[in-house]
Amino acid sequence: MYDGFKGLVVRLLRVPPEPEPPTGEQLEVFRAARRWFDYRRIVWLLGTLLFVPIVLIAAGGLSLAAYEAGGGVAVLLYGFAAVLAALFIAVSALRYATLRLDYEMRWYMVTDRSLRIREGVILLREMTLTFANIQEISIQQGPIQRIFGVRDVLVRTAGGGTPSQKSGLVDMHVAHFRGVDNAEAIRDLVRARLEAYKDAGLGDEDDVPTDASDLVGALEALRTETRALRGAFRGPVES
Amino acid sequence: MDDSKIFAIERPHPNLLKVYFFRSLLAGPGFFVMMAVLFFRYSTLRYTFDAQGIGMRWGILFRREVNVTYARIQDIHLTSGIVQRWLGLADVQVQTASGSSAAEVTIEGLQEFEMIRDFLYARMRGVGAGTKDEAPAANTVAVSLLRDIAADVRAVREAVTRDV
Repeated sequence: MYDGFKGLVVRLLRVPPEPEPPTGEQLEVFRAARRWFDYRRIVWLLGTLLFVPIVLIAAGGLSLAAYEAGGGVAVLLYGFAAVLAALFIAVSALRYATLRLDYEMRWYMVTDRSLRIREGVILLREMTLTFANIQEISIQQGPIQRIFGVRDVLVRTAGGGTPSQKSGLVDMHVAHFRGVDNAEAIRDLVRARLEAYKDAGLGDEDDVPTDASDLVGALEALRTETRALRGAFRGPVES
Repeated sequence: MDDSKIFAIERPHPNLLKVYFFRSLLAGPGFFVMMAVLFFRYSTLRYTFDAQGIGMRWGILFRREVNVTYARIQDIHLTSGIVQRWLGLADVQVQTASGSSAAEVTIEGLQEFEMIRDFLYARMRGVGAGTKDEAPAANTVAVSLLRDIAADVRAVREAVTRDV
């Protein structure tokens, strides 16, 4: 049933299946951890359980009123109670399905030059940034996340500002690897690939790696010549 | 990738107006005001992509123009809601290192959003595609100068040794 729902959502909402990796070599794709999904499911369960007594009381109250009223009004009230219960179940199921979809439609891609994060089902977000622009990497873990053994890795580029309505209430300068169970591995990978860049990451022109062998070759040829020239005047040079 | 296609982009796709329509519906009673504002935004929106950067301008009463150089791009976002995806559009949000959390340029209403993302990505710092071809001129000049000097010295030596 879930697969059918997923297929329908993907078709209906036109969700592109998997992001295209950014150009670059040594692509590694990380996914959110299974335990992160467990954690979110438990949050969902707690939230749903919280509403169960409220729905029960409301439906029970309606049924009681229907029992006492009798006749045509009773049918209406019973129907109302049934609709209420059905709506609650449907909304809870939908929230669960969205949770699972959100967990499945989430990719963290790292190449040797850049990283790309894709998340979201209804509102789709994809972020691409190059290692040359990275300023900081941090790992976060809350107490509940610790129980589940998952962490968030945050990779920041330069630029500040508080999240505003205009930026969709998220800090757009942060690449957020949500709920991963191999945070250290990601951090080490990003740090290792960052070492190739020595500049400030603030829009300096790309440092073009120059081929030094030409220059050295030319200098060596020159030295050989000058030594030979000196030798021509004063006899062989001892080296 | 065909860059000339990107350089040719000037106007947003007509579907952007439909997106604006749905966005205005969300404003409820403010529909007419918002639709009017967005309509003028749509009708005055112009993009310019050139060799150095992106330009974007819009507005009738209050005119705005934003320019961002490719080398200064910090990160590129691609975001799309349901309505946008239905109409084949997405926002390409381009950010620089300035002090705002929101995007400096939001390229909206273009169906070639993936092409634009790849185009911008290829021009960001640290991607390095093709930059080696533009080797620093000074270095090349230095190498050829040194070779000239070596040749001169060799000629001098040869001349000297012949005389001796």
